[in-house]
Amino acid sequence: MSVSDQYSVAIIEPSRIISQGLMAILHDTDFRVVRQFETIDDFKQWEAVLPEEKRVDVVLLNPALFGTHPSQSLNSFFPDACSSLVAMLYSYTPQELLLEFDAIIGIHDEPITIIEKLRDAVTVASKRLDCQNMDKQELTKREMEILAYVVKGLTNKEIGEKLCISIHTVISHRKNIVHKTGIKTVSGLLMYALFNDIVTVEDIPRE
Amino acid sequence: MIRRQLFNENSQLADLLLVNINLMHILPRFKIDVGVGESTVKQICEERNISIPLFLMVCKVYSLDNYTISQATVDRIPVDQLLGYLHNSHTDYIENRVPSVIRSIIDITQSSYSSHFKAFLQKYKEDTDIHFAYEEEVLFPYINALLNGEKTERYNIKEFQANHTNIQESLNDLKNLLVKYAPLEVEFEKKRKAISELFLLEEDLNKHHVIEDEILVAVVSAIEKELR
Repeated sequence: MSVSDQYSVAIIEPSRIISQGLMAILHDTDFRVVRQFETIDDFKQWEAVLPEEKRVDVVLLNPALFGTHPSQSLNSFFPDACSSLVAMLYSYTPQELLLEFDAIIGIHDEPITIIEKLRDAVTVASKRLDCQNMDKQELTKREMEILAYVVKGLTNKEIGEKLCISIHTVISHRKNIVHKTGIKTVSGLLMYALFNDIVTVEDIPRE
Repeated sequence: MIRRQLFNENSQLADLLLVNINLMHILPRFKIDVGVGESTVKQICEERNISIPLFLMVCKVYSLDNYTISQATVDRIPVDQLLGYLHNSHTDYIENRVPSVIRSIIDITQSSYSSHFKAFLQKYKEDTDIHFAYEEEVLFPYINALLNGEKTERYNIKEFQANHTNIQESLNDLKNLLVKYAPLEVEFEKKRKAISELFLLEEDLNKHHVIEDEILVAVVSAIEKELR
């Protein structure tokens, strides 16, 4: 398997036995361990100088490393969350901390289970990235349709009836429109729709 | 990076302007003209009966990121002068800043949509006027009554804080639309002028809201407590 087909993995684990064991399990799979660290600080120092495209796909870490500062959330350590975060569990960890990980592997998991869990974690993280990039996307056909009705002065209820969708769906489309265009006011959306030829001047009701 | 120590009464006003030209905008609100030579903040404020802590506080809000005001400073700010400053700011926005930005924008939107754009701008102007009118007609009279020792149960500063409407939304939309869709056939210089002016106005309004939401609220809460 070539390097580019593999997901890169960093391991943060104080125990050599555990990290060596993980490396053995991941050997010859679609995951490749690029580096192992004993502390989170060591990892952060290494990652800080890394170009963005070289960021690892998966960070496998032992949640017990948070033991001394349990009140801090995972977010404060990995603010941009580009990688999947996977917990390696073999001692007690508070439930609320575990909730923040993309996957959890246990010391008794079979190698095949571990790999499946890692694959799921990568999917979760890529979905998260898609959400972050959503504002760069263009409006969908449906969203343009709804925008046209909005600027023509229809209420959410009327739009729902016209398109045979629920009022909640209309509202969620409208949220997406605001999110994607970055424009919040109805009069601003009107200008947006004109500039993008979604409506024409004739479509707009006179006040 | 602007040094906080620069903002003391013995600094020359000119030096403050040289590090942050946006302070130009606050001068007319204190009835200070530009071109005051080497006068210090202390001299200028004393000549015009301006509270020095108030003047320095406003300068700091406009110049330092994440400036937080201490209780000791809050206690030294005379409320009547703070209200006067805010009132003059509102007049400045309504009479000068907002119309000027709107003129520059109309100047660059002579397209087929210009009537809709004008309607949008008109709406923005009305929203701004309503926003300031509320403060002038409801909030300030309430504070003046407090200063006279009259306490009313019907209104308090918390209510203002909770309902302080955001006029930044339409301004933000305006920025967004102009940066993306300013008409290509219009001269660049006109677009540069209009868009820069709009961004400057936004920055100014942001600082204005910091003064209202943080300083005014703190000052008025203290008076409310005293009267209780």
